[in-house]
Amino acid sequence: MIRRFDLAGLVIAAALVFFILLPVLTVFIWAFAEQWFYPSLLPTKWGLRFWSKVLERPDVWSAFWTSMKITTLVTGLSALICLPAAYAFARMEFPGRQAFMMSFLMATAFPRFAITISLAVLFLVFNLVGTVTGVVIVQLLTTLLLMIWLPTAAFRGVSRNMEEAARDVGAGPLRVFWSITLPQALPSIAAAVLMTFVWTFYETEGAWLVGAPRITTMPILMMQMINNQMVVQYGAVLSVLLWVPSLAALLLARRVLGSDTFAKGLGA
Amino acid sequence: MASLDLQDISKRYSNLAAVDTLSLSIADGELVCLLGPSGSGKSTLLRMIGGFEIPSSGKILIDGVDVAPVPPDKRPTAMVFQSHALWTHMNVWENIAFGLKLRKFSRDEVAAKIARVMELVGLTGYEKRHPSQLSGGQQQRVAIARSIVLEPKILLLDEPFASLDQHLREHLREEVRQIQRQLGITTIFVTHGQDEALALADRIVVMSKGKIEQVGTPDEIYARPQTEFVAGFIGVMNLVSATVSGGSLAFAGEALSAPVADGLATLAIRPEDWKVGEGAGLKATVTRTVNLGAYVLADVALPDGTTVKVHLDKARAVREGDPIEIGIGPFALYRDNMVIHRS
Repeated sequence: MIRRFDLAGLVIAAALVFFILLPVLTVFIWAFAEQWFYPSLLPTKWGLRFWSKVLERPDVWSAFWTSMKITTLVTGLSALICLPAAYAFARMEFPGRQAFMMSFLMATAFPRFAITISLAVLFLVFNLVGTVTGVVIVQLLTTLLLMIWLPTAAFRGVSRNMEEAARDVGAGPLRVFWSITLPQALPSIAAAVLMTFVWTFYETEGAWLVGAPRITTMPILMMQMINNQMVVQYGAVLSVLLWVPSLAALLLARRVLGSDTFAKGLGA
Repeated sequence: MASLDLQDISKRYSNLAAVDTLSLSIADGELVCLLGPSGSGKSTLLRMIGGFEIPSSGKILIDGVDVAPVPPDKRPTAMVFQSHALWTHMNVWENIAFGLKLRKFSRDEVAAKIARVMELVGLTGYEKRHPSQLSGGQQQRVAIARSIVLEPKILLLDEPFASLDQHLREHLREEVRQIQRQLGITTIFVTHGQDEALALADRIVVMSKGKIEQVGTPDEIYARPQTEFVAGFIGVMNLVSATVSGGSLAFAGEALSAPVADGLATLAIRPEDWKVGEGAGLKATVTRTVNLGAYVLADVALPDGTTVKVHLDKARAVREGDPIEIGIGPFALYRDNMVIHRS
C-alpha cells in the first residue's frame, strides 16, 4: 500500500523545524564559533576558545553551584510539602476540599509577575531580598501547582482495592502507602519532581526580582552576559551548558521509568 | 477455621440502610453464598465482615470475639476482590510473599508456603511473572493464593469471577470448591449469579434491600422458596396473580383447592412442575419455544390468555402454534411476599 503524501503534515513539520530547531541550532553553532562575520552562512572559524574562557570564569562556577543548591532545596521542600497534600486531596474527604483546589488554581492563573513583585515588596520588610531563603520561597510557590496537581491525579488513579488488599493481608496504613500507593503513583510523581527541578533551574523572574543583586543563578548570569557583553559566544556557551542538566535529567527519567510510564505521568 | 456470627448488623448511609438489622450464623468450614441483585447489600455485608466498612450497629463475632471495631489488617479474614487487585508493581511471588513477610516468617518458611499454595492453585512455575503477563483466570488464582497462603480463619470472595467468561467461571468455581473442601476453610462468597450459588454453596443466603429473604441449602432455596422474591429470583418461575375465595383458587377456568383466607394471592409454579399431555386439563397453544439443550422451554398460552413457561421433553418435538394440554402440578401461594400454602 502506498502511503498518501500528506502535505499538511509536512508543512507543520517544516514550521516546527524552522521555529524550534533552527534557533536552537543557531545558538549551538554560536557556542562553537570563534569568528562569524555577516555574509557567511557558517562561522568562519570554529573552536572551543570561548568554552575554556567561560569555564575559567569563577562567576560561572559560583552561579552553577548556587543554582544547584537552590534548585535542590526548592524541589526537596516542594516534594515534602506537596506530596502529603496531594495524597490528602486524592484520598481524604474534608470540608472545603473542592473550594481549596479551585482557589489554588485561580491563584496560579493570576499573572505571576504581579505576584512576584508584591512578594518582593513583602520580602523587603522581612529582609529576605537578596537571600537564598527569599529565592527559595518565591520559587517554591511557583512549583506548588504542578507538584500538587500531578501527584493528586496519580494518587487518585491508584486502585482503592489494591490498597484494601494490602490492608487485608496485614499492612497498616503507613505500610500500605509506602509499599503500594507510592510505587503505584511513582511514575507520575517522578515526572512531577523532574519537571519541578528543571523549571526551577530555569526560573528567572523570581530569582531576579527577589535575589538580585546578591544571588546570581545560572539563568541570571546568562541574562547578564547577554545584556552586558558584546561577545555573543559567552551567552551561547552558557545556554548550551544550561541545556546539559535538563537533558541529563530527562534522559535519566526516561531510563528509570521507561518512556511509556514517563509519558503517562505527563498525562499522555 | 472458625465460626462467624452476625448479630443485628446494620449499615446506614444517611437515611438509606444498605444492610438492615441482619443476623446470620455460619458454621466452621461452611461455604455460604450471599446471593442477591445489585443493591441488595451483599457486598456491603461482606466488606463489613472484612473490616472495610464499619457497621452502624451490631456485632460481628468470629469464634465468639467481636471484631466490628477491628481494622482489616488485624482481622483473621482474607478477601478476594472482583478486580483481583493484584499489585502490578510486584511479580506473582512478591504479591503472595507480601503478607507472609509482614508476619515475619523466615525466608525458608515463606518459600515453602508459597510453593505449596502455588501448587494448590495450579500455578507452579509462574512465580516470576508479572500480573499483566497472566490471563484473567490466572490473575484471579494468584489473588486466591495471596489470600489463602495466610491461612485466614474466614475467606471472603466478592464476585471473584464476575469479569471472566462463562466457561472459565465454571472451571474456577469447581477449583475454589475443591480448595475450600481441602482446607476446610469457612468461606463466604458473594455473587449475583444464581447458578454459581446453586453449584457452589453449602447454604445460600438470598438478600434483598439489605435484608435476608431466605437462608437454606441450594435444594431448599430452589424447591421451597419462602418468599415471593426468592421464588421469582431463583430459577425460572411462573408467577400468576389469582383470587382465592371460599378456600378455592380460580386459575384459567379451573378451581384449585387453597385452604387460605380470601383475597389476592400469587400462584407460583415451576416450568418443570406442569403435567403435560392428554387429559392434563387445560387446552393451550405453544406460542414460542427456546431450545435449552436437554429440554425445550416453551411459552404456552392458556385459554384465558395467560402465558406461562413450560418445560417440554425434546421427544415431544413441539413447534410454535401446536396445540398442547397442560395441567397444574405442585404449586405454592404467596401473599405479602410470604408463602401461605403449598400443594
